[in-house]
Amino acid sequence: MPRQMTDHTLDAIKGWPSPYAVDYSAKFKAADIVTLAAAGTEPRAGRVVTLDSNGDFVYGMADYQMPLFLFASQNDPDVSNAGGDPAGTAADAGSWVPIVPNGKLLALVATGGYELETTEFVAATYVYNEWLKAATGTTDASSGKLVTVAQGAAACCGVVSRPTRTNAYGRSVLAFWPVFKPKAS
Amino acid sequence: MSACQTQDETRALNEALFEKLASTDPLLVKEAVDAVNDFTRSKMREDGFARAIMPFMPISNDELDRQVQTDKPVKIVDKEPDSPAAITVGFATLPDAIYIRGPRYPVTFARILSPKFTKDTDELRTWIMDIRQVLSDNAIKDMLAEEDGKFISACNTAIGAAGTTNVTSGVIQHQNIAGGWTRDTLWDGTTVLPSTPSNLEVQTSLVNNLTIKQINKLTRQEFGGDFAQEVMKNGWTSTEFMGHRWIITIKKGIIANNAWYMFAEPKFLGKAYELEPTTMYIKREAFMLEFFSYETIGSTIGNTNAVARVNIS
Repeated sequence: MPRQMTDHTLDAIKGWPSPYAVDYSAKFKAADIVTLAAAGTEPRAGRVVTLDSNGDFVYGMADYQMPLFLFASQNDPDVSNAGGDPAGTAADAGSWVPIVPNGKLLALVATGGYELETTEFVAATYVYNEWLKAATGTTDASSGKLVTVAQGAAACCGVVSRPTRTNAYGRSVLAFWPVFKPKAS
Repeated sequence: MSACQTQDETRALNEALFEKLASTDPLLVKEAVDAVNDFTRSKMREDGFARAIMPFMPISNDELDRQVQTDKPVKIVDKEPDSPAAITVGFATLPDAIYIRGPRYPVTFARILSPKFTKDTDELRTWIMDIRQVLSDNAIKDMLAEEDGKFISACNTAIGAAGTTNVTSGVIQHQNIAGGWTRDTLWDGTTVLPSTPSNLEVQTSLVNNLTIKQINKLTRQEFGGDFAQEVMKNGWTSTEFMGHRWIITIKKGIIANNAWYMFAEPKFLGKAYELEPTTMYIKREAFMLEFFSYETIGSTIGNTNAVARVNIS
């Protein structure tokens, strides 16, 4: 089935867009894009990311980094227009080089005042007020996807506001209020 | 401020602009915004080298190509297909079959935003500079740096590392040439671009304002005739040299010293589209003025054989 624009999404049910919203744009870590691409996937909208030491997005959250939620996918045409490396990679010979866009993805910061709804969560039964986190790594099945966490056991990036439902495009979605609660030291 | 505009004229112009911006009449506000936009767009055209090398063409909604995977704007551009050369053979044989394909490349769009500037209008009353220039200069500087920086970054990707054979063209499109700026190295430099299979000639050269001073040092014998005298008297004033156009930029942070970029005609290079021209958003709320500019553009180098770079050392 071809990729559709409704497959992987982050929607703001309340509080966004706003000209005063705390959004943030950065590139996804290049090496992770390669790893994900090799597995046939891409950084996807709706997933949790944090900034690495270079200021690039990586999937998931450790104990103390500020979580953000990707609003765009890497393959969105306002993020990338992948022509490859026509100068240095034989497989890309004859390809094009985009000048615009520049590879930056928009993300909403977990301290923002909004209610979000994502398609990216580990399939499970979620209940109101459950705490959420997301695993790090480059495994498409789990990395960056919301999953429940016991209070205080690890950093938390959100609280379930509405249990899973099927949205208007037939996708299962989970709504939550973003919060940032670092792991208790 | 234009050269022929007096301080009094500028002040009068500023007051008129403020009055319009403060007006409750949307037509007057629009007039003020249009005045700033006209000014901004002409400055963008004048000051950006990327736009001079690969001019933006306006594109309308009905020229965009709809995609299944996204509702974001995309334009698909056809590439001229390469074909193998004809061959000489003996009798009683037929040519190899070539199945024709139509290669294409996408131009995707993104928005370029300047920072959002704020200023108390009462503080602006003391300014004797043209307010249109204050507004546009702040915004334009950043947007042009973004446009030009991204353009050169893409050119560097297209040509590859210095001294490395480009896998698309099979030749080195990013060459180091030793010997300083001489008549010989200049002409040697111009052989890089036509050496690709596309055989494209240089239409535009791009160097920074320090590099051109090295070229200015060419002697009368090297320049040939009175051009050396002209350069010595007046500095570099020419836009045509060696049969093509030269663009001199002050953006040394983007164009390194002694780096010389060469480009074929824009039609061979790629496509640059302007979906939303540079537009200044201006909002006056009570005494606070808030402004930023934005544009929606898409540009792609479709033919990497149309760019070359030489580093003279």
